Amino acid sequence: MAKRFLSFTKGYRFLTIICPFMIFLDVVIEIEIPKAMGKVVDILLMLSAEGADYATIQSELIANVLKMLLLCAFTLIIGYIAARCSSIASMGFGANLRRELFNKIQDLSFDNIDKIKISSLITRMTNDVSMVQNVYKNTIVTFIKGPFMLITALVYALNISRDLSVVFAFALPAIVIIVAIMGYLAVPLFKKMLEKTDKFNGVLRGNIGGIRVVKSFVREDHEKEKFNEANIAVMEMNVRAQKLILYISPAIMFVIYGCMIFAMWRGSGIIISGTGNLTVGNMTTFVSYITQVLSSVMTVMLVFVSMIMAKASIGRIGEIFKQEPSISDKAADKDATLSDGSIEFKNVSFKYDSAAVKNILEDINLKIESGETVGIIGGTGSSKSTLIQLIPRLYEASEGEVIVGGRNVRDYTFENLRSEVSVVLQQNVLFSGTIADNIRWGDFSASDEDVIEAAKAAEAHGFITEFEKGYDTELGQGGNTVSGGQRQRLCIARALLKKSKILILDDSTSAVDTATDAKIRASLRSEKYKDMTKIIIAQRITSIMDADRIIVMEDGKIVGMGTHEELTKNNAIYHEIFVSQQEGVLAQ
Amino acid sequence: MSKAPLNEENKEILGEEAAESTKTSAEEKTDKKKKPKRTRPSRAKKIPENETEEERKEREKKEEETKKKKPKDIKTATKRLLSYITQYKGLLFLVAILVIATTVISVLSSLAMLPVNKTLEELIAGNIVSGDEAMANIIKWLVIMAIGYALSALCNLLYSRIMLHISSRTLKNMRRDLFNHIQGLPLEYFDKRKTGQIMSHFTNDVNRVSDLISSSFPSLISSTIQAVMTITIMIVFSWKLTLTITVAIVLMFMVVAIITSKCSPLFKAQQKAIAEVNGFTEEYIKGIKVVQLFCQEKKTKDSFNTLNENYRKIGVKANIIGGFMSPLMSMITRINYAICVFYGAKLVMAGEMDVAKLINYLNYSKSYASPIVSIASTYSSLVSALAGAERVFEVLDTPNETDEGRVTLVRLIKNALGEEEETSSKDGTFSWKVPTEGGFDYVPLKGNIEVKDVTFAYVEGTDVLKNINVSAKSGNKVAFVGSTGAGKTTITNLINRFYEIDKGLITYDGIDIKDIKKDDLRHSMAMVLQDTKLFSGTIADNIRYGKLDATQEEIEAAAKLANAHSFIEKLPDGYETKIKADAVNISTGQAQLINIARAAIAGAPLLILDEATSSVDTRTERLIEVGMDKIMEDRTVFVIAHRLSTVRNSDDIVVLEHGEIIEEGNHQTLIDQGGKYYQLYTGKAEME
Repeated sequence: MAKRFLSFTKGYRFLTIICPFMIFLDVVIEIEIPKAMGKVVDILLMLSAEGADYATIQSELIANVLKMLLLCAFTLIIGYIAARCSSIASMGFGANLRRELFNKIQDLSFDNIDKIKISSLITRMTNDVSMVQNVYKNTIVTFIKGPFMLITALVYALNISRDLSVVFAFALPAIVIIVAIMGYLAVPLFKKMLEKTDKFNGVLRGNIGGIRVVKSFVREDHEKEKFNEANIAVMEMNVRAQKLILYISPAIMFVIYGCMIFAMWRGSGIIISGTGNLTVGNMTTFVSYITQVLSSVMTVMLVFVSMIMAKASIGRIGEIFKQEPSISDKAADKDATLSDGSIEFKNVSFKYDSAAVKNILEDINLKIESGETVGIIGGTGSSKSTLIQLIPRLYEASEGEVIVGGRNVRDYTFENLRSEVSVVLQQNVLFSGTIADNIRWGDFSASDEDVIEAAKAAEAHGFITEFEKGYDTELGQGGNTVSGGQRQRLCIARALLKKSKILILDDSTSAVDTATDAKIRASLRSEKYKDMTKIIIAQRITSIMDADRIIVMEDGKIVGMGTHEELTKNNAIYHEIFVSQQEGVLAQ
Repeated sequence: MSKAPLNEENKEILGEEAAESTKTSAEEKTDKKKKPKRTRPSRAKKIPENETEEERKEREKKEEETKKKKPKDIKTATKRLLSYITQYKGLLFLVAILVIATTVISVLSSLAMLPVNKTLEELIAGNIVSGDEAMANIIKWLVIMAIGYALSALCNLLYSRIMLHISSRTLKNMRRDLFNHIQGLPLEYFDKRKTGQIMSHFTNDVNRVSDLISSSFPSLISSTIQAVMTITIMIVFSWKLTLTITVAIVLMFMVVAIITSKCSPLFKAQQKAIAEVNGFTEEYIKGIKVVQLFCQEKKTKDSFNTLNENYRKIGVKANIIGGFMSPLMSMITRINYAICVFYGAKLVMAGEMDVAKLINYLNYSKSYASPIVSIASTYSSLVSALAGAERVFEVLDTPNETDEGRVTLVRLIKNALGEEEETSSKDGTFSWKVPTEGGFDYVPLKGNIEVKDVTFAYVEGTDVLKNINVSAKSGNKVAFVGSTGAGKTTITNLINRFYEIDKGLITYDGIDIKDIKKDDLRHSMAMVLQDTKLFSGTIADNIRYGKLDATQEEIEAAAKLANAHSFIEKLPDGYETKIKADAVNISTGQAQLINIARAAIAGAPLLILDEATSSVDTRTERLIEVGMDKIMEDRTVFVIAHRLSTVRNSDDIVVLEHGEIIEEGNHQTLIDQGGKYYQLYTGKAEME
């Protein structure tokens, strides 16, 4: 998986490498600066010596201060380059990751998507990706700067005085241990806090979304209690987690100050005894190295902790990349196209999960001629929708063959197969954009006339022209600005514009009133759409009773087939459904 | 070596809030997109009368933008915010003292460097001869320094702990107040806003306030004191040298101001860009099945990539400028340092200053910059926190549902003398308690509803209902039929007073519903709503929502009536099956059955079914019918249904069109009339 994540640095690898290099330079200079400052202090100290040569001191001062300023100018340039490299590299990494993940998701097959769940896909694409991107940025900047800083500062410190450097032998492990312990304790707490926050958000979202229910059952007090519980849980967890973090800062300060005092104590001793070649200036420099060394250890540790926290996100993203689309068209014949709109199911069985005992579809045998209109009816859970989703190969038959347009569906590429099979799904999804844009999904090269014609056939033209901006009316996200029935009609228009050989309507007129429904079916019978094979799934018997053939399904099996007249006579289930919907009429 | 930035740094590196902020920004964006449809001009402030639609939109947009950007009235917002923390007055005072102590002690402790250096210097100069004497002196000062640092670390820990206590409780209290308040808000408030928009008050806005309290407040105090003390000490060392820093400070403020002003539009653009990316992601992943069906994967990927690239480009720009700030600041400090070295050396040579002082001054001159930078950057977080607080207060200021009703619902029971007496026992029969002059009247709860000449508009001028007259007696089933937007649901919204009627009268058992206490009015009816809203929790919990003290037997009985029992039993965990967030584990039809069971268990005399069985297939609907008939027995029932087979057996069918009743009667009369209902019906008859 590390390899896969490395691949997202593509195009930014040079910058990713340049970045730590720049930071390395930056570190070296950052270390040189205190050294120059220390030198300046030493020179200044010479001023107090008896009979100091002011002229020499002044020229040395100028030389050293200029050196310091030059170094500063360098850090400025390098700092700019480093900031530039790191932001280009990390944003680039994020963009690559986001793009590849989005592309991957687009190519997943339906059962992969069902398994992971759409809401979870969305959080992975948004929250998890941002998390990983942040960590990447921190890593290339801080994680690399930290060790560099640590090693260089250590080397310089050792150079100044080995005696004083003994402090690091105690301080370094102390800081590592402090942060490690805190991290070890805090990570699970933060995880728990996220869980509580999720629950809090869940209660809140549920309440706001269901406010009508809350109010109509007068359950405000009950809701307040529920909310209060979640609210307090979040607060308590938050306090517990933050409390740990609180200790880090004073603990680290304790170590840093301890080291400083120790260094000054030992340093003064050395200077007084004159045993080493330590100067007051050197000692000042050493003290500032202490802060540098120790704070870089701390940042490294903290980035480490953040990496651990991001591990879950990386895992969740990796899980998507690991998914193999369960249905592939790689083995397909690229030139194979549908010869006509005929469909045949040969001994087809299906189950969503190969480990499941029970089949969702059981031994289906069905032949539909090109141009035929077939209605499918059956109760919830009779697997009508599953059956038709095998035709455009949204799911793959577990057993048996699905033959469309003369060949097995597996022989076609997805593009060739699906461009000839239009399906209006039960969940009618429209996208933000204008009405015309949405209908054009069926065929992007369609002329305005074609779009209007499709809309007319779907009985959508009327309400579209009633909008102030007509076909240019903007639909909100998810097509929220139109009503359920209108949305269904737009979806039908979109499917019709595709002019495919097969059209499948999966309960797609349930929110349309019966009269409009009838008009839509009448236009489907018209010359233009006459040759299309049509499969209509419906709950309303009126939607399918004029089909050439009606299939009655129950529990994943075909339990009846025939015309309306035949079925009313000899199929008990069909008769029952019919009666349930026709009682009033028959009573007359 | 200031402590506050250390804390902030931890937070940033851990990135704990990163996830939340990206998500809510996406939500915010969608909220903005969908403008509230229902506006009541009467409630808005001042609106120019002759403005066109375009102008209005423009103005609203501007208003919204300014609202987001900065607080309108800093004083009031601050005052109210303070009211949240005044209950911690004592603690806050303690915090202030501790913060001051921390800063003062740590600055003073570093002063101990002065004698140490001085001693060493004098030793070198030969003024002190004894090494031991020098060492003893140094150790004395180092011990003082150590004690000082230890004390300051302790104070730091203490005040951080107290601040955590205060900020987390303030956060909790604000959220609690917000939640409690919105529970009482009229439905209009919720209809006008999207869930994400309301939720962002609980997350973004409140979090900003709590950040202000927990980190900005102490860091502002400590930075100010640190800056003041450092500069004072510097002045004490040498006021001449200190003069040079004024230039540096001005320069720093300028740099911060320029960079912030450059950055903030860029950061805003970055926020917008990521919101766009996330919005697109959400929309197209939700619609992924359609994308695949239309073989539009490539086009979708391309559009995504355009947005993604846009975000990348803006993000790079914003980050470069942001990352450039600290090298620039250190450059300024160091130039100042250089100037001080030369000037200081000159002063020393002139004999105006001794070297030890100069060295100490130089040490301090390295540390005055960081508190100044932190003060400058606190300002922006202060502004955004106040803006957040103001949005919270805006919600808290939204008036509650009006309720002048004085009629309440009570249980009556006959006492030993045969007189009626109020009781809390479950055996009592419900009755309205109507206050009269000098006493009470009891009106038995029956469920008789009378709608008289009711006219209603969500937006003034566009009547959704016109002169509606409907009456229903206990045991009656009244159905509303008509196309979407005809006003069917609106009638029920008025009966339970989700909205208040503009003209006309609705009575419940002869009492004007405006006189009935809202809670009691709603207790007297049960609703099954169009959207199959279930709460997270178990199925049993969801049914129990209709009657919180219901026993398992009652729950199962209700589920049986709604024909939900059989499918619930089949679920692996039965009634204890957890409903997941997106209710994936049960179908819409099943959710509707649970909704019906929930209404059934409530046992109210009035039942409103709004498309209650639209997703239930007709055969199942037939199976429920027996149970439904049982539920409807002796109750007043209002039914709204698309499917005419559902309403056929109603006592009264009301056909609505454009907010008006165009036909009324039972199925047979309406069919005989051959009007709209007949047409709707023959839409189906034509097929035969």
